[in-house]
Amino acid sequence: MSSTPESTAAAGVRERELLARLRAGEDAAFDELVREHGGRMLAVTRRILGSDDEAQDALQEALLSAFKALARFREGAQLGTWLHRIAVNAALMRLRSTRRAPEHELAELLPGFVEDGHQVREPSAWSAEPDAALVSEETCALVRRCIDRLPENQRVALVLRDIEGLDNEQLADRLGLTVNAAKIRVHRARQALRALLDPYFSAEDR
Amino acid sequence: MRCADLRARARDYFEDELAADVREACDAHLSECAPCGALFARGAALAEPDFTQAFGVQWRSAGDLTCAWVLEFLAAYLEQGLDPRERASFDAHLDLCEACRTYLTQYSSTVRLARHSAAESTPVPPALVEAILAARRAAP
Repeated sequence: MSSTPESTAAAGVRERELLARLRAGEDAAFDELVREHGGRMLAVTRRILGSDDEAQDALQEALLSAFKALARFREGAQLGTWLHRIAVNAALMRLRSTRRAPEHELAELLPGFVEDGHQVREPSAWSAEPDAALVSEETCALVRRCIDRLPENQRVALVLRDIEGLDNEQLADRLGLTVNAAKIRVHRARQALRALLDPYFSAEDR
Repeated sequence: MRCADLRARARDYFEDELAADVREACDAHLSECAPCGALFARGAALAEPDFTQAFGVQWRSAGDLTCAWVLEFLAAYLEQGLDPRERASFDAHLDLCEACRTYLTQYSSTVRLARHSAAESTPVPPALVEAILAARRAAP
């Protein structure tokens, strides 16, 4: 659904009113904010953390810290964008602060090469080259499950770069890596995800 | 990066003509591979035709690129991160190699699918909404 200038203006007025009620400490306004923005924030924390329980904990942390920071919210900024950033931060903070299980490198998901530099197993074309604009919800769910199977550091890099839209420099900054290391991590994650999707799309296996 | 890929790039390496990504990959290989390290240590001082003989390459061509090299730099290729000469070699390899073309198509589809499949919103359990609102009311 596309937004018209009128609907955008109306949304802006509504958001300013909500903000005023939040700053006045009105209980119903907090309820409204959680119900309106919580779902999108939970989707973000879920993508980054890969677990429902952790994503819910991160959402709670994100919203409580947003409530405390409401006074610092800049007039004119978009509330949704601000909350989205807080949700990303809360999820990344959680990743850093909790002890993670040792990661298994998925070497078998990366292409292998014979001595002369050719691929060990040449890829077979995907039967129906998936057109992202037309894929079904079922396929989307499959892709999400495959993303969840990536090693954590790869999943986080892929989500931040390819879904949340960070550029290589921002990604490196958020993950505490050099830009080159961040690029390599995203590249490995895409290669691994391609390998995980391959059995589902490969013409040979149909 | 493989020894052959590094050595095929020796001339560009010494003339500082490599894209930053590629140069870093070359340096990483050089720090781990003693034979290549020794070769490059003396390579800069070699004049033609000793240079050509030492590195086993005359000049880079499509045939110099291996699939391993191409697949390593797919992201740089797609993000326009290769310099024009590297890009031309890359394109020449893709023209000749169906396996790499297939891989490139699938790699691009993978990125698009990841982006498109992301859930925009996830239902927040009512009990969690209540817990968050209760925590706010209880906060000092």
